[in-house]
Amino acid sequence: MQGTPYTSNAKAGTAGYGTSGSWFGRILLPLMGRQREKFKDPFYLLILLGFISQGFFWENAIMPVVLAILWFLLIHLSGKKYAVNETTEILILLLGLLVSIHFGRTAFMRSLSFGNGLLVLQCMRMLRPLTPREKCLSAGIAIVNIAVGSQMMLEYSYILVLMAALVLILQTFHKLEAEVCGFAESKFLPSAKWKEFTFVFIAMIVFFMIFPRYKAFSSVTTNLSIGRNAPIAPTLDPASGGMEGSGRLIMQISGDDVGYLKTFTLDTFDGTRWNPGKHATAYRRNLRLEPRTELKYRKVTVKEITLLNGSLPTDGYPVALKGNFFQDEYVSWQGSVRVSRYWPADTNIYEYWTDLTKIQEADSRETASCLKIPELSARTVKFITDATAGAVGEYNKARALEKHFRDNFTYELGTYDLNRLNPLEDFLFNEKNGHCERYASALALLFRQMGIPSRIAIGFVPTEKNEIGGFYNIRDTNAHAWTEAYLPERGWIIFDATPVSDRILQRQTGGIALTMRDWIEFLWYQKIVGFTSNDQVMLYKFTVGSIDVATEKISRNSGIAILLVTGLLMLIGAMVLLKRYSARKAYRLESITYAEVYAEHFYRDLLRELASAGIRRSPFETPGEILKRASVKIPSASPEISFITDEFCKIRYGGRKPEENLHDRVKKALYAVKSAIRGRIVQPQNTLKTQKMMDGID
Amino acid sequence: MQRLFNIPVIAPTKKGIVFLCLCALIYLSATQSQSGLLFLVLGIIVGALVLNIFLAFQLIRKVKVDMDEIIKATEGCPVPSPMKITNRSKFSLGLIEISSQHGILTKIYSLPAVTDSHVMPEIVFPRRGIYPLKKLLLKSTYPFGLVKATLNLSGSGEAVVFPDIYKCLPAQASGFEPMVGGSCSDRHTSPSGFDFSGVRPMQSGDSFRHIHWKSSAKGTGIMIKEFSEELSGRLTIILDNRASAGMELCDIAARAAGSLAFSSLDAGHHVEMVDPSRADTLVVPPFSTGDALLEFIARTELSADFNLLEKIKDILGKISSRSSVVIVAVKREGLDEAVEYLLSQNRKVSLYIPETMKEDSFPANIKVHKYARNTIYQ
Repeated sequence: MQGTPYTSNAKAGTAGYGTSGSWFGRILLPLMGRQREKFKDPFYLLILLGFISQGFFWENAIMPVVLAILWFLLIHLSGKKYAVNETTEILILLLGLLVSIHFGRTAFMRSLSFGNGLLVLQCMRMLRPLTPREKCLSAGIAIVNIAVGSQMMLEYSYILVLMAALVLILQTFHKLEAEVCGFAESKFLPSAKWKEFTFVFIAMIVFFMIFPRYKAFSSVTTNLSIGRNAPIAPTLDPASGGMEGSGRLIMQISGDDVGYLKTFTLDTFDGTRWNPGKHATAYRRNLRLEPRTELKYRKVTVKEITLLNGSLPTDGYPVALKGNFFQDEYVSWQGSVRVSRYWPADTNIYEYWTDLTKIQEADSRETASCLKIPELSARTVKFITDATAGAVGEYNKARALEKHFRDNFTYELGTYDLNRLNPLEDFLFNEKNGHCERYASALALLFRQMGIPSRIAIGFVPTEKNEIGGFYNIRDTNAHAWTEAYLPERGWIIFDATPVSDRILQRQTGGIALTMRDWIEFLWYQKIVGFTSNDQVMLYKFTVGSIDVATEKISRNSGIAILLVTGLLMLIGAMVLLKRYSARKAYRLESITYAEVYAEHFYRDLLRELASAGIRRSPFETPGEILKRASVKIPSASPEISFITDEFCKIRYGGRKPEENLHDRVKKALYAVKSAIRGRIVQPQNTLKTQKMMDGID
Repeated sequence: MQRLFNIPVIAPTKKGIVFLCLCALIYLSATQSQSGLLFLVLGIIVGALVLNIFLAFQLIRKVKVDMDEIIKATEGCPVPSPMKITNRSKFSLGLIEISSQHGILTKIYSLPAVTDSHVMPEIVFPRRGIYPLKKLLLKSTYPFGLVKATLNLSGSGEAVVFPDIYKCLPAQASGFEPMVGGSCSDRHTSPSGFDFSGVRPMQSGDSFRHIHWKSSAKGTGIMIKEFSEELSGRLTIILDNRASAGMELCDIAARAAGSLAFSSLDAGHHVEMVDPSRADTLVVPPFSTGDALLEFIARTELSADFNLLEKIKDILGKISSRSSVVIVAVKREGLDEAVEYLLSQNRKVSLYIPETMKEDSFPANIKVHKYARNTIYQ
């Protein structure tokens, strides 16, 4: 029986983590194709980060994913000949730029959309090899895309993008420069260069805190129509299905018992749609600047003032209001707070005081306009009767109707459109599901049928509270529609027929994870996103003030101060000297003693293994001679033995310091040698004698 | 190498300028922005710039370059003697380029903190000669290429580039005299040597160590071993370096001269090398390393046209009267007269001419050889 020839697959210095056998190797590696190295290249990863960041421009979660898949495909195809020539590239780029600047509600948004045009250039360049200059430009475009993402993604999860950008930008800069200098390999890993990465991180923070910020003059907006850019359109079509928002942060509000924040109301129904009505923005009353203490206080920081378009969401009965980004505020005929002009400030803040208990009266003209409806069918009237059966009084009947919707209907977004001929009956008797606008519309119509003046209110419902900062995050997903009904002696009251869903459940409080999340969110929004030039000035004043106080205290107690300072200086000097001495000593030990001792240890291990195979070192035999003998007798382990011998000679005789990963590599090589020797020893009997003769074993 | 008393230059590179402009654009956008996050993105680039400046400054202060005063190399081959680069800083540095006025000496990707690194220069000198290395330029863009640090270093070194010699047969020598190790032999014998030539009866004065016992045992008497006498000759190589023949041809002639000299030295001859333009001679004993000879050839520069006959008349007075004369010529002008003169002085003459030169008009009693780029036709 012949012995199985032993082959050693272990190679000193290789990772050997079973790439061929793991799920990574089986699934992902074939997908990567021949361009595997590009998937690990920091330059291409930076472009990926740019793609994802630019995807946030579209205010949904799908586009970043689509662009990431596009990046993957482009790399996969880059080995093949899909590249376009330079002229075509320029033409496509110009076309992309022309198209991209049409996206965006405001001039600032259109400038961010410029990044979409640059993305077109990135895509074309990924299909072909790039010169160093082109790579530099592509890196710049990726940074522009990341900057665009910082304007669209205000969440604290942007920290992840920032950290990735920090690592990838530095690695890309280094790699590009190494390529220009003619070095094929370049490594600038955070693990090895942690000092450099830490330095840049600290520099980033210091720059953020101290670099002066100037606010450019922004145009004042005066042409304000109701809810032009609002998350919920200013005309409501109850027949259409609603779509979910992107979760974009609009504002943050702090205060106790914050209720429904009304932006505007729709009180005119033409049979198909609800509209604001002729007097929607008409002046009703003024707002005072001096609040009373018994009122509820709210402070609102608005992130996206364009989405409010002249309306300031408030709850309750706002009595007093002040802010830094608008002028001529008043309460409109519909009860919502309006401004006649606004402009973006450093941080858009308004504060108001509201009375949650005040009865909001209406005059006859107002109530009359809120009663007009088209004629409803008998079936619909019966529905009302059945739903309110057993309730006595207008208020109780109204509540019963509201409860009926909540208990028997379901909340659902993206449902099919209702029957346009009779959407109300289709909703009440057939579909029985939908979004908040349908419920608000249906309830308002039914109230009007019952003779209760009613209208639809559009605004936001705060649900996501940060317990640490004490504020609510109001996003476009918090946009809501509800019904307001006027009842004598109660005034305008809120009715919300929308069934409770997971989306609008109150956020759970408590738990360490949630508390930590609240902390991060609080610090992120208050100290980073909201860090303005005023905060810089305050920081500067605080620093200067602290220095002044310290200087004054020192000058009052000069003797003690001198002693303290002298003592401190001596202590610092002693520490520096001690550190230098220790470093020198450690270097000496390390360089002379440790490295050589370590090298002798591992070489001794190798000699021990070789001795077990009958290759014993004779006196005065050099490492090279032993290597030669061992390579002949154990050819399968020759590379490993050569590697260990080389490293030993370099450290012991060449004075070289051991590399960081040498220990692992030597260990693997020794293991391979051992395996090779054991593989040789386990031989079938009929070849044993021959093998012994070859080995020179006595 | 010492630092010149000048200020090191730290300046942004083109890439640095591009990204500074990008920073300016991002800052302008930040003036319109509602959030301060753009300053964080800006801060990354600014931080990279600051780090680059700091490490460039460290490099200028803490990197030391040591190299031999005289570097010896061969034309067309890499320099064999290493340079020592020391990083005395606590930070690892890299992307270092050391260049001279003749080209880039070496590039180093990474230099760990507080380490020496011995690197082989990458520069290849294309032709023989003396290349002064009085000024080196130390440059680095570590680690991001946004800022470049440069510093001029002064020194007193030079690179001596030898001609690229090759194997060939030794030139014809004359004036043979006994010398141990000589590769020539004559009818004379000597008691020691390498070439055994027979036995003879012992005579008074012969050493017992030279007894040939086998022959002596035959009973014919004590026999002493004899060896062929080892002789070594003398030759003088005159290198014609008239510039009007062209630099390339002069270099080929220098290679041929060097190759002949080396092979003659290996054969055990005394070699004298002469530069007729400055009437310099170099005497090189046999079996010597030949570095001095190669250096002599390296330092031989192209000269203006001269009268070869007049020069040879001058040379003959300075060289050994017994040595043969080997002329490595590059031009025909004056060559015939010089050869005739040498023959009239009873000198053995060998002539080495370029392969493109015609050999028919030379006297029949002199040996004419042709040389090319890497070979000599015997």
